[in-house]
Amino acid sequence: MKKVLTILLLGALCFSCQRSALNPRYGMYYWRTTMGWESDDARWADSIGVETLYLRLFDVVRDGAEPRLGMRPEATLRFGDADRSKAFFASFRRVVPVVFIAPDVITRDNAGKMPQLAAMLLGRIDQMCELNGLGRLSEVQIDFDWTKSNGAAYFSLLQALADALHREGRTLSTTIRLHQLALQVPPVDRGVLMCYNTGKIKDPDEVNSILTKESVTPYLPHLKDYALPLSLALPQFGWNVVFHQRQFSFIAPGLELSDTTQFAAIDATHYRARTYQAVPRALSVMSEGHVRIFPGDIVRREDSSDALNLEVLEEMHSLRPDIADEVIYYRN
Amino acid sequence: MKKSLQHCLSVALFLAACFVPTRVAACFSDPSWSWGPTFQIVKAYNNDDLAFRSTSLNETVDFWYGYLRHSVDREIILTFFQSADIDNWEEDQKSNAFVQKLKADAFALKYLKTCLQLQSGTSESWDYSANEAMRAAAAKSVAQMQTVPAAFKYRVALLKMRLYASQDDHDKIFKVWSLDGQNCPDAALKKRLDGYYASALYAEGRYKEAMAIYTAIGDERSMNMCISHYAGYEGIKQLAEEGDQSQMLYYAIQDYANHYCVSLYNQYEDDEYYQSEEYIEEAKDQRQEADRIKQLCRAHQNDKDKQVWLSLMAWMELTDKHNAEALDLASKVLREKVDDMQRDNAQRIVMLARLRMASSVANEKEAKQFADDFMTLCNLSKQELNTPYTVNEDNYYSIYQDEEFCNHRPNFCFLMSTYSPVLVKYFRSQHLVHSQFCAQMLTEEVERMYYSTNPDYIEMMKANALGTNWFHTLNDEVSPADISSLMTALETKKSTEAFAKNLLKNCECDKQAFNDLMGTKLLRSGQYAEAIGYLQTLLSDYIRGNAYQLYLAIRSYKSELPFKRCQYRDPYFDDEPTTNNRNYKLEFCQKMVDLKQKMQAANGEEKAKLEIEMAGRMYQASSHGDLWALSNYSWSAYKSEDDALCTQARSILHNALSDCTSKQTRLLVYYGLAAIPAGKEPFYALEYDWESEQFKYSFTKEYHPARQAYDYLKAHASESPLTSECDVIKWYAIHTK
Repeated sequence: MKKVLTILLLGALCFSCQRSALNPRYGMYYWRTTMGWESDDARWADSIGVETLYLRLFDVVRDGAEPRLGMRPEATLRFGDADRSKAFFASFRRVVPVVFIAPDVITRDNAGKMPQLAAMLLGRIDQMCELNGLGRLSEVQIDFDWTKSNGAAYFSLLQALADALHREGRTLSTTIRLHQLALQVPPVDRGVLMCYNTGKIKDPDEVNSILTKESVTPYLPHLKDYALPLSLALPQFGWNVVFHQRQFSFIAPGLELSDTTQFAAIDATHYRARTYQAVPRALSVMSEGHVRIFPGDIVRREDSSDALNLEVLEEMHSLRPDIADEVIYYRN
Repeated sequence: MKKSLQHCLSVALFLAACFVPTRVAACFSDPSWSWGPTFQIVKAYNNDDLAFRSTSLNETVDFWYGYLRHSVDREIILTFFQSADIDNWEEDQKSNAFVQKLKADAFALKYLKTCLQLQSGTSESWDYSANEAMRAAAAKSVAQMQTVPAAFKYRVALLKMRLYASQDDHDKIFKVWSLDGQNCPDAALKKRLDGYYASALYAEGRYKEAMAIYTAIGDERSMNMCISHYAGYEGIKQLAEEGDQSQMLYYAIQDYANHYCVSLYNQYEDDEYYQSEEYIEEAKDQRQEADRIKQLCRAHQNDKDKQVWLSLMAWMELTDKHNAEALDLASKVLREKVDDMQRDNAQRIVMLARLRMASSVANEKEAKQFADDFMTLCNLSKQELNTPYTVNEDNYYSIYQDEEFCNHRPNFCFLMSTYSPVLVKYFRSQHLVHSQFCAQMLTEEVERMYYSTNPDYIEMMKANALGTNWFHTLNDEVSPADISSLMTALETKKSTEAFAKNLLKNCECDKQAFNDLMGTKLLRSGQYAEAIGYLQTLLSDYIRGNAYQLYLAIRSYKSELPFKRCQYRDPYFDDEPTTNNRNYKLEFCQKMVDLKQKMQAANGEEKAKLEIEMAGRMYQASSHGDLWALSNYSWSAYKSEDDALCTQARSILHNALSDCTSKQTRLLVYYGLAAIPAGKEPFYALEYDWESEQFKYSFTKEYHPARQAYDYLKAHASESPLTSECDVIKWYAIHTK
């Protein structure tokens, strides 16, 4: 009897562990240049209980005029009113500062500058956090899409950062793109697997460039044995992708797709523009030329899906349970 | 009865003749690539103030130079500001001549320091704390500037606006503007104040007010941002309903014309996409949109600013090729009181509409009108090109489609991308060679003026006929007889063509280039004796200066066999001069005349050998041979048609077949017939086979003139190294039945 009860108890415990493994902690990326916490952002964060704020502090870009490194910070986050910022940060359990490094910044040629870059990065991150009421934060994250050719240089940057952080009992994480699961593991404490923008946005036949199961599946074989603790980043956004005569035009925010005087629905995700209009706030980083919509242009509406996010999470969890410990949402 | 019937018939015929239309629509269409954003009814910026972007630095330096009463060299001040850094402040106070001069001027020194602090505070450097400290220090210093000397009143206003811009405090910017900024008497400084004020207005969604300022200061990119909020039917309608007489309405209309209409024009392109079902749907939407806008134009065509609505309608009708309607509407605009820009805009529409409506048979009156229109456009273009403008260096090739460039040079872009191509095409359709030449030459004269602003092109564009379109048009399209007639027209300044008659006086005759062209065309058609007359007039300097001379100078005229490759020297590794002034074309023609004479005197085998030599020389001089520069001005792997010299060479070889008596000679003749390309399509192709990882020959299965020769060579493959060592013939022999 005792044996049966023990077995039953253990079984119940395992079952509850399994359920709590799919009950991740939540984080969110804050990827703006000014602090501005909209009420629907707050409601959303509250509704799922976001604990960790991943706060982009600045980008690093190439600049030949910068005398020491040939690279400099750009698009630094403006914190604005100190009290408002403080109140905002207080609504999260943790804040992790993130720095985005532009793709062309780190190359084989400037590998020798990585220790200096590490020092300057960390110095700036800590200055920004301390001056803006965040104090010295326990984790730092770097976002950089490395390749085989610049991987070694990037890893030397990460090593230098990790060494400095570890000396103070702090940790380092980095973003991992799906294709990097097949590459060497970076010298960090944790990775964040980016499961969004997985498709080909400029392809007119793409179904959804934000995330589809098909775009993730090829990389799953590398997931199980990837030798780094991982969190999972998933999308929580949508956008309008505009095509002009089957050529990618730009990403257009703020379109009234339901306005039938402006757009005619072709199917659930495609619309044809009926009028000529300009888009003042088109995302210029992706635009190639004019930011105008012409009659006949096709708009592909792409949205992330909670159901798909869950599907991806569950599938990945089945391969390695720890990935469901934390889910970080990217909302643009 | 018979008489009255005759009388009635005559009257009837006469009446019928009265009503037969004398103007028949021209039977040509626009070149489809010829539509650029050249609708302009409002100024982009003030042409007398070049490079707004560098104004700030110059304005600053000019101020200090004047403030210090020229007691410090302007260069020193300029150098200071070009590399000014607050980190060097202590050092600059000790050693910089400019800063030292301000030692006794406490306010000036404080002001300058604050500017540097703010500059540092708003830049993004690795030292974030230092940036923040600087910004705070600048803010504190600005707050302390309560009593401001007169000389700095507006400069402090600017400093405050910069500080508040960094803090996104638009209300404070408005306050400063309202108190001081708007009253600034210095135009250059006022522009800088305007810029900050306009940015704040834009950020607050006050686009029309921002637009008015951006227009005045010529900040085009910011203007485009403002316009984008009103682009399209809804925006234009809103502005019109508000009774908006501002620049915003004009710009929204201009934006519509230059973006939407330009895209609408593409439906006339001959491209597969435009036949697709997808496009048919797209075109329906385009049509609906265009019709809506036209309705809007009609609704406002009696407004106070009717000319902009009429102009847009005229432009849209022009886009739709409703030329009579476009002409009528644009003419109405010209009857209104309009400024130069709007007048020129309407004038361009009138010119193109008129041209498109040209009669199918050219007449004197029309031709004179076209000549006047064309010269007006050329002169307006030259005026535009005389005004300074910094062009985007990357854009030299696509400049006529570049919106920003077209906004600054609408007449020039219209001439280059639209009017001139249509005019040339019209003359081509009418076979009016003199007129076509005049149009091309004078257009290129204007274009040369444009390219003369780019140092890379100055040398190339210096009086080099071979670099012109008109030269190559004459080379490609016009017969020697017509060129000869053109040369006479250029010399006498007389022509029977009405358009050319009016314009020949403006055209130069580059006699050397024309003689070269005539000689080359005659050489190409085998008229060697006639060609000599022209080629012997070519001067040494002309020959040496031509691009093709190099290709002739590096080649040896001795080839192992008449139909094989000529040897040549590599021009990049040889120490000897790679070009010279030898008249190779003349020598070739003289040789060919000599050969012809010998051939005429010879018989049998001897004649056959001369014929082989002649055919070989023709082949080498053709576009397929190594001496292509004798008969062509350029080389391309693509041959659009059968080369005349190859055709003649083949013909001569057929004669040689009848004349030859020896087997070896016969073999050589057939070898020539196989080697010399016949027709547009080649007999064989060499392709790489990925499976076998080898190159393979494939031979056309269709009838081909060379087949007979190949079959003969195959049958006699082993009789001579000529055939036994030739890869093509060996392959043919093995792989074909």
